[in-house]
Amino acid sequence: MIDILSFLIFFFIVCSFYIISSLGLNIQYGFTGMFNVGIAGFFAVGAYTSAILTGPNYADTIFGGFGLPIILGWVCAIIVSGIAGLLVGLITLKLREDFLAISTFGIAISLQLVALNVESVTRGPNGLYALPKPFAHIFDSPFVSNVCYLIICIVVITMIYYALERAVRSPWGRVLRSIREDEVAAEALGKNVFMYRLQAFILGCGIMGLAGAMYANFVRFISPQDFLPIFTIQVYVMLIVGGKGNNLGAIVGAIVIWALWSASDSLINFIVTPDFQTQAAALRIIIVGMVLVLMLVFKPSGILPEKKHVSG
Amino acid sequence: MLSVHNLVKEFDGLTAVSDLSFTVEPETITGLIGPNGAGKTTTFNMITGHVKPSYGSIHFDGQDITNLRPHQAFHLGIVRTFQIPRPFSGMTVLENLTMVPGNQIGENVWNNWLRRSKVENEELRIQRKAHELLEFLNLSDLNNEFSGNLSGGQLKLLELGRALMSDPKLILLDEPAAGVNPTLLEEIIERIREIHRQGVTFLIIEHNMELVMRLCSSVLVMAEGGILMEGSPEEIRSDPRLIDAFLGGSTSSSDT
Repeated sequence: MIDILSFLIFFFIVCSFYIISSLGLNIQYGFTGMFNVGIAGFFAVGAYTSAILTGPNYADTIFGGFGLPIILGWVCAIIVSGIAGLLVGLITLKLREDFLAISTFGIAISLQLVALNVESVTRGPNGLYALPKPFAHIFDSPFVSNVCYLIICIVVITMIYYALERAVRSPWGRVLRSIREDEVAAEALGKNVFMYRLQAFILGCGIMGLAGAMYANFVRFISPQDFLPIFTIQVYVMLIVGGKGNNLGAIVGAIVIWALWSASDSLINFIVTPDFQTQAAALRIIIVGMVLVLMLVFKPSGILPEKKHVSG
Repeated sequence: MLSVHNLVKEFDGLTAVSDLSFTVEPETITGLIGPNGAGKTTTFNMITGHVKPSYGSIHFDGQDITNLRPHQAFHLGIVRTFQIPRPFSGMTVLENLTMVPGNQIGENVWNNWLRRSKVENEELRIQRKAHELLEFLNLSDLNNEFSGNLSGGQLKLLELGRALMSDPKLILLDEPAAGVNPTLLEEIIERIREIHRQGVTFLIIEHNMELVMRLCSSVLVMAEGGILMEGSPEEIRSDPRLIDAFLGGSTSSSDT
């Protein structure tokens, strides 16, 4: 019983990182129509920021090991990923949609390569280890500290959800949606399209960075392997299946797809003999890909479609 | 109010507008007519900042607006509609209007988290205004409909409504009568007249001569990128050069 419970807790904690990323993507892609394919990059920036600021001092790095409180690491992760979003946004947001996708994809790959090669800061492929986890030094039992971590995740998700809901239902969110619907008309009606896109981009990237930081302080070990493009694809599938333009949809989609991903993993391990399990792991990508295609064919607006914004 | 001096626009060697000069007097309705390809919409695009002129200058209320971006021109009081309507399809008719007013408190994202009541008060004011305008345009039954579901004629009215939300000084209408049935045309003419009475200046591109004759106090005829002639609707109508321009005679041959 406790096994199932601790599995569920672990499942939802990891799921939280996807939920938060999916919420961050929703403000960019769902509401503003910006095709940011660099989610893994901003997630990585947040993860490394928190790891460097909160982590221990390693013998082989020249920068880091500040041992700061975790909360400070997370706040800085939001700020640093937000700044990364600002810099990337300044150079890419004037591009047409497809070019924005290609350039953000390239930037995310570059960031991953930087993490792999700047060994004096990131320890390259060896990664940063022994990162602090909240409450881990108070409770010996990993079960209890995981329960605490899940509560933190729920609190953070709730805060982000309500902040975003308020933002997208505001005049600010209305401008974002008008840009998504018709950029030329929005500009003709007095909106500085570039500035709004930049704001939405920075906000989304900051949220993705927070997800990365929370990931780093949960698994306590990060390496460039954690930030591959598959992460970006997963988050897109979650948002599209859940319902882009709907924050609740972003959450539901993340839970559904992460459940499917985890279940297909167990199923493959159960069916396939150990010799072929590495190869069979690719089946998960096929399964999730099929779900995406079926969804796009039969219900392209997602499980929870965008709601009409009606007012009195 | 609006004056255009020696405006030129070249697209990769093709001259869309060549040496165009004209002025629009305040509180008038000026028609801009001419055959397809004469450069009318390009002229609009230059005035509103959607296209940068190759040469020449544009002044509005004494201010040089030649190189302004569209959103900057908007804030000076110039607003336009589009030849092919550009509604925000996935947004309601009401939202299409409420998004328009400039410098809303709630357009700053922080204010929605920190100064909620101010934003809400302003929003109520904006919504009241939008409802009044929708009433005026006979669109109130549709205010919670997605604007993408509106008919072509209704979209023309919607664009007019969006333009009015900003209390503009100058409205540029690009073919307000195109694809509009006679009943709705009557309504559009009536609405333009009413708005004009409140002191708004209009510059209207239109092929429908009925609308031009009934509304405009002066008419500019463009052909091949320049002004062919200008005058009152009556003068224009009786000028043989107009027929020439529309029926394909080039400007130079029509002079002989």
